[in-house]
Amino acid sequence: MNYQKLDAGLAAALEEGDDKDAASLTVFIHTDRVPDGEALRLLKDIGVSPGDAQIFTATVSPRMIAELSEQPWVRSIKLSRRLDALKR
Amino acid sequence: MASPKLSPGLLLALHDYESEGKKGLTPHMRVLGVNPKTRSKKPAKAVVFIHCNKTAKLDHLEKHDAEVNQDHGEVRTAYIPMDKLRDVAKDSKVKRLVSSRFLRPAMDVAPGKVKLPAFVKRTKLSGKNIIIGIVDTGIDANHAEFKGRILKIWDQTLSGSGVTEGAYGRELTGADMSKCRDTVGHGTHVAGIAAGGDKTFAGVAPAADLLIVKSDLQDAHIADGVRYIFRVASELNRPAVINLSLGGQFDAHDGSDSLSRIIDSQTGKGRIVCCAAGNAGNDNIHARVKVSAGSTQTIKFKVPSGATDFALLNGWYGKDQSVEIAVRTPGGFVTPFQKVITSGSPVTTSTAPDGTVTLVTAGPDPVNGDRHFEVRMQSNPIGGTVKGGTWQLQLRNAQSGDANVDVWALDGEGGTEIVFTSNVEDARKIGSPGCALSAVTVAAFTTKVRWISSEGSPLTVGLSLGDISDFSSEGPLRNDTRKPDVTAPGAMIASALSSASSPKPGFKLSGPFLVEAGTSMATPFIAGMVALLLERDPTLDPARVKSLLQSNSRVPGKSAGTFHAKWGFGLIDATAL
Repeated sequence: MNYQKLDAGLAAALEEGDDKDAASLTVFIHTDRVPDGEALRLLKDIGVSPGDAQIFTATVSPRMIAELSEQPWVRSIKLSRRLDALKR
Repeated sequence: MASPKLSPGLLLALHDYESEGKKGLTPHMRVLGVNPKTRSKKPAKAVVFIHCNKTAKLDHLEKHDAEVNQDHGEVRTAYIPMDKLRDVAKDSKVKRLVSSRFLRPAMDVAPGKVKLPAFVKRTKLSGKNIIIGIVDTGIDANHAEFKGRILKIWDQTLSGSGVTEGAYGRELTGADMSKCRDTVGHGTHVAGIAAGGDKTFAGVAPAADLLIVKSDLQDAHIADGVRYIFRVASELNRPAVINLSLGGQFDAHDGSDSLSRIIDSQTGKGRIVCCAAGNAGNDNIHARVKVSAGSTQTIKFKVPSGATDFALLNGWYGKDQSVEIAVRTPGGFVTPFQKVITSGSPVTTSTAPDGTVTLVTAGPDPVNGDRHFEVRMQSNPIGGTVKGGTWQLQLRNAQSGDANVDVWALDGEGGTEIVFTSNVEDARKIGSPGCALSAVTVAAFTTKVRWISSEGSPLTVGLSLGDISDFSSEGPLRNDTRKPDVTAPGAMIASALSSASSPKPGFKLSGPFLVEAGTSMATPFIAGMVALLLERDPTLDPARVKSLLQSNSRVPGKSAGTFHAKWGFGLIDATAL
């Protein structure tokens, strides 16, 4: 696991999960370039079709977070957070 | 017969009733609190305000079949049969009878405050052929406000194969759109402000079409929703403006968060996003402290007892600085200071008799390069509520340069139960996606503080009429970028009520409408205005839209172009738009 690519929320969330293979983490994946070749194949395996985007979303397992964090084309991975409807 | 105690409106209604019976009251229904019920055998009644002495006893008015709702106060509300109004007016304890007036479920006050009716009359713009995208809690697709104008709904909460932007949820069209339920009601209300088209209700762009995303409000899924709306609009070759009346405080408050960056990458010519500034204007959720080289600073914050099972601090400081953090619990336990950890997991957990504290001190953020830390506080053992009392965040700077640290406090629900009691800075509270640089970020203005509920009760809120709404979040961003951009009516705003929701008593109006307040309500006002501008010029991009809005806004008492942390560039004025 390359923790330097994970944001604080994701690093903490990884400490909490028991099942390392459960697709339980919704994240943003930031890449250095538009994914192609091997990168595209890995992303398709986890149900992501990034198109020409360099930031995309996925719901993946802790084990996949570890694998993605080691990829040279992955710049950072950030935990998705729940926002609030802004009525008083 | 003259009745000097009766208000002119009530006198006119009474005159028509006495000359034409219940039928004569029909024209008064829309503006006065009168209920003719022409097919009913029950007597027609008026909803009135009774002006009297504060302690006056009015029980004896029952003999006139008057139902007085309060037993004290100088102004009380009552139901009085029309044919007993004159008798009640003659009573010596009654000083005056005034008919209640329905807050029309049209934004009759709000648009006028920003000169929108004159703009619409002059330009004949209505939002036709423009798409307004709403990513929110869903929509009541059967509401008359939106009849025939909802193109598609991506309900991310239903099971299904999803859409191009995400293999989850279900895309609904035609009659299937009624399967989307807005049990919260927020999305329906927001959509009504932007694009309500019913005769009795006028949204800002009543001819615009709608693309709806019902979201679970995860910012990743909101981002997918933004991409979905712009993709569908592009396929239809139509301009679109997206309304995001949503927000949080988890991010860096500089526009570098993932959702903001996706918004910036998706916007362009004919593709605009409007975001709410947030409602933290009254809440001490932000602290800023300068930690000089070699010194330690302490920030105090209060957690209410039993309020939350999870408290969180979100801290950020500059890329060339390094700060060690520790936390002191209300019981006096202090965690060890933790440095920035650049190798291995940056997460440590400490347990104290009165709490569990998790510190995360990661290296530089790969996106903006700044340093970020998170502090999580839970009960010990985990599962209860966070210990109430005063907690402390300790910041130690062992480096040679000074460090400027910003910290935001959140409770487990993303709310504002946790507040700082020291080092409070009443600024920089606009989080994602309001901090997206290309977004039009909207603050709220108060145009109405009183209304009559569907039960006939007059209600008042403690906001200053004709002023910025005190709850509206202040900018600028952490990096001093100027936000919000513009201010629009956001309290109290009448709009569509979702039939699947359960609004607070008193906030429901006559008919399928309710009143709400928030920057959530101000944002669709501007989104609707942007739809009008796109109808006039479909090639407008975010910079041009913001320039137009900002140059037609003004902070009261200031010259045009003056920025204010709460007002942005001020209240929009459509006169010369």
